[in-house]
Amino acid sequence: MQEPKTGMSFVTKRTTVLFALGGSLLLGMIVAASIGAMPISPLSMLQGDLSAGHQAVLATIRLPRVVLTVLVGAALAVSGAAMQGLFRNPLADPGLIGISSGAALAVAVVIVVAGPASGVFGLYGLSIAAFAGGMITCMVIFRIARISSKAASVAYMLLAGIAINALAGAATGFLTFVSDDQQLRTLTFWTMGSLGQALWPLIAVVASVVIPAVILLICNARQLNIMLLGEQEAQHLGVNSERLKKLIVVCTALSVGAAVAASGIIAFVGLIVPHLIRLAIGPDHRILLPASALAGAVLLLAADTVARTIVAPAEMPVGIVTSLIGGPFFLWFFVRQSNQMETA
Amino acid sequence: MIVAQDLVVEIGGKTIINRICLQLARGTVTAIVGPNGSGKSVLMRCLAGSQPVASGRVELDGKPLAAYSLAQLACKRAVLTQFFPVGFPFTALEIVMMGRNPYANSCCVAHNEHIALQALAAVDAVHLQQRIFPTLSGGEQQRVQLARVLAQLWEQNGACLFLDEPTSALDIKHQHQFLEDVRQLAANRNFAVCMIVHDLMLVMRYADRVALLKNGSLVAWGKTAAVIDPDAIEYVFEVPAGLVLPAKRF
Repeated sequence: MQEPKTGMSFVTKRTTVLFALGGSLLLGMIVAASIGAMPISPLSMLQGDLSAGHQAVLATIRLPRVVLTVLVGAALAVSGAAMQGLFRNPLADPGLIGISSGAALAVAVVIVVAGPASGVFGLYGLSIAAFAGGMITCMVIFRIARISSKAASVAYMLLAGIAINALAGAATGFLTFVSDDQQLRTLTFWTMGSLGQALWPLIAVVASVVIPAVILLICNARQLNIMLLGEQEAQHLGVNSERLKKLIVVCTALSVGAAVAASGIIAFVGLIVPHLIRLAIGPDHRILLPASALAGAVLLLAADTVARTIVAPAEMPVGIVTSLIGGPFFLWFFVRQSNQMETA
Repeated sequence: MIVAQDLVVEIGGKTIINRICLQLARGTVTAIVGPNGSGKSVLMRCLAGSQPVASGRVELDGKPLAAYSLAQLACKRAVLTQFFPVGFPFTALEIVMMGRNPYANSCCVAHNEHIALQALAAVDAVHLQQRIFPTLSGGEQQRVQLARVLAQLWEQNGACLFLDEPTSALDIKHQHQFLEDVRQLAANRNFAVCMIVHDLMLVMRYADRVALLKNGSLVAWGKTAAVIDPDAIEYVFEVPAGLVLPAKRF
């Protein structure tokens, strides 16, 4: 199938796509905020005509959760798209260079070795550990990639990431093995992801990390396109690929670290969203990155709304839902796309 | 003018380039010729500024290459390498537009797109513009990449063009068409062209100067007619000269 793109300029296409996704995101946020144990009519929400009880639910429970979900969804999807571009591999995702597994190991250490803590660390301890774990992993990978050659080559980063993944997985496995039942339950739930931690102070911290990182990635989208020609070709075209690689890895590590810290490990968003966007509108990162951010937020909002309502009053881990919705949808889209390719 | 002096390159403890001195003058087409593994591509990367050297230096217009910023160099020289590992479904036009990256801030999109289309026309590939690059045939991919390199230097005069086996996948018609274009660029726009080509017939027809390489050393360097001589060819390629040179020369 050949898209008749000649009639539509790049700017028109980008505006259309981003407006459509932005619109669905707004709609999704309103719907997600209205659904729950205490339904709030979207109409009265928009008119500002709410009872005190509704206002309290909205301000302290629904809105923080919606905002956190949007931030985490956008962070994961943009990071996935940027990683796939950097590694020139459509199967890459932020987990690939070990950031998530480093975070998971740090969380396991805190749960199993440090045990329950009180005060600020009790509330945010796992988040702090996850973020630190992610950052340390990122630094280790840079170091290892630099030992083998003067410049941090993408291939060595990938190999280092695979080794770190295995190592962190083994260490987490050992901690799981020695944990007691309560610790095991906490750990298991954390690795399946949940957005139930939404409190405004946490959101402020996540936002202050994720928003600048995502904007920085989007600003470098054109250079990232050029990197897909090859590192040396990019240099010949005036792109400082060393600087760009560092920037991308640091930005994705920061935003994934923050996302994982706030919500545990939510699988699939970083892998599937960029794919869907790429299949629909092409690989140009100038559209792909912002569109992935919006689509990631929409997908995670939908998944989280399902997760917290389907087995109410209990809550299902959102990571299960993302995989359950995402997997079949992705397969359907992929099969449809390849059918169209063949008939064209 | 690009001047290389006493270039030495070592990779993994092995000397790949051994004390090579060479000049690429504007208005000329220089061909680097030699057997596989003789250091042709490495030498070209040195001259283009993307290969660290153990000793020696490369200067562009009297200034060492390292003194130029990547952005400055991108407007003065373009490089076509041998492999195109593009795994993502960019269209051919998008690939050629990447050649306009150095001018993304100084020219408007419409102007850059206009140039990209002209560059595609120059390699006879306008009809490929909306095709998905990774689905093109090897020869078509090579033509699109050639267009990208041409687009990078489109409005420049006196730029340097480095081509690593630019015609390896092209059919005979497009080989001659492209090399004729390259010769025109050197003649009319004062380009310094440096290319690696295996076909000695093409070298004799389109190159003004030849650098003959064997085992990382420069065997001969000068005007094409003087360098491509039966004894030198037999020494470098270890085949009877009659096999690779036209009969009328004997």
